[in-house]
Amino acid sequence: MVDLKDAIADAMVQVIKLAATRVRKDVRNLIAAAAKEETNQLARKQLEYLLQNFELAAKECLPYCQDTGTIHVFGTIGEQFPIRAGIYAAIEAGIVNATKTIPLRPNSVDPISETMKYKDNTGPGLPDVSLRVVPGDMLELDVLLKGAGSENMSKLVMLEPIGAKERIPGIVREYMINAGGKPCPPVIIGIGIGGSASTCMGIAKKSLLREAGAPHPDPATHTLEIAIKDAVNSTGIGTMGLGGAITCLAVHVDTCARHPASFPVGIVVQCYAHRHARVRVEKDGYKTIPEEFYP
Amino acid sequence: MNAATKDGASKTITTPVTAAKARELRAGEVVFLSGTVMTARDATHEYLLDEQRALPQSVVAALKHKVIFHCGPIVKQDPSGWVVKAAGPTTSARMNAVQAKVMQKYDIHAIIGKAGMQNVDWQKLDACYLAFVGGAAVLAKNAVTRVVDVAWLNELGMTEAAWVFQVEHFGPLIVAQDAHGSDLYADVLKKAARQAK
Repeated sequence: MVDLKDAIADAMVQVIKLAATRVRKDVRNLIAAAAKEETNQLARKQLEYLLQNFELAAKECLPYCQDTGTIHVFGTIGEQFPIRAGIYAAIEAGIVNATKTIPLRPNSVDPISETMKYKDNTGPGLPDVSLRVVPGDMLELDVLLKGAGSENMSKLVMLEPIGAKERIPGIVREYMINAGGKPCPPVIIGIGIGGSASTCMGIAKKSLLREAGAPHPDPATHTLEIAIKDAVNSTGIGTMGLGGAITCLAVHVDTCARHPASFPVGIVVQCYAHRHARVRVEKDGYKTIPEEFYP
Repeated sequence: MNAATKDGASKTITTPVTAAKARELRAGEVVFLSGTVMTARDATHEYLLDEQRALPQSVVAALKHKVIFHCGPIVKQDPSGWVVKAAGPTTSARMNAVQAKVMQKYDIHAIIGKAGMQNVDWQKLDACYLAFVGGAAVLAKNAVTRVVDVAWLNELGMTEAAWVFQVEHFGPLIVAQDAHGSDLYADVLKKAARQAK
């Protein structure tokens, strides 16, 4: 019988390696399409370099961006999954091992002493893990390596409800002009609307786990996604802020119920280097990578 | 292989990048760099400006090449020495407030990074900003032929330490802000602001 804690730690190494070294298929397709469509020479050339860099990284099995980010784990645990104890420790053990073996860049700094006392991408609050209990017997982990260039462009806006929805595309547009090349465009933008200040930021980030560019199931919400995407692409910011028609590859909006007096909008920007992968650990320890992103 | 012949159409510049060499570069040009560069990010810039702190010999020698690379690489220690695994540029704007001071103090004339800088008078500094495409870490590390040295590794850790790299045909580097007042990023932003009206 496989030790499930070992299986979880191994699954973490496997999924982090995949996310860090190989671009998701849907994201690569969007970048390749952008490289074809882009009319700005400098932008097109840079997009071609990005594609070339993906290939080199996959071949050498190395992180395609040196900022391997802070590690987020969005998980679901089946009610019938055999263990509860030791799951967090197994996730951490996997990260420590992945940092050493892939290798990842050690990215955790103590904010008060400013020392690098955490050398393995763990530390207080890191990794950022959320686990929800769901029906079933599997553990499913979505791992996101979030680089700082794009994360630094995150923004919370607390709007007044009158006319708020209509203002969103313009607000995001202005905001992306201020961001310029800093988040490494072409970007994927996650927008969370509703809930509280913290919930809307959370759902904005979680929306990045969807297939890039897949429409929100609610048609009105998808209309808003298109309006935001068009607004951002009208800026001409382009690849790396050096100009171009494509600043944004996809916009994902997610919503939750809001207080009548509040209209929170969370903006989470993801660089083109969208390091995300998913792994399933079954109750007997068997691990699978769903084919959705990595066929 | 001779770096200059690898991409016949592009210019290759060698370090030290003097004021005269920096002045020759024009916004929009694509160049490659051969020679020595030193990585420096936020904390390293603070160290470089700290009057109380003695500079390690490796830093003194590296800065004579007059190029700072905004980069926090992934580096691994093998029996043969340090090996660079990934070395793309970081967001340069974080160094906006301190960049000119560091450049003046150490006579630096080229910055390599991503997304450009604000409030740096490239004209006055006789210097240019060279953009490497963000995140293209394996392309960048392939240009590093040797890790010459590292300073402040214990104090600052892998990301923020001052790594001295020997590079060959490092690029493509887009001259994005030049010593003659041209600024590709500012042009893009001006256009975006006009469209909004």
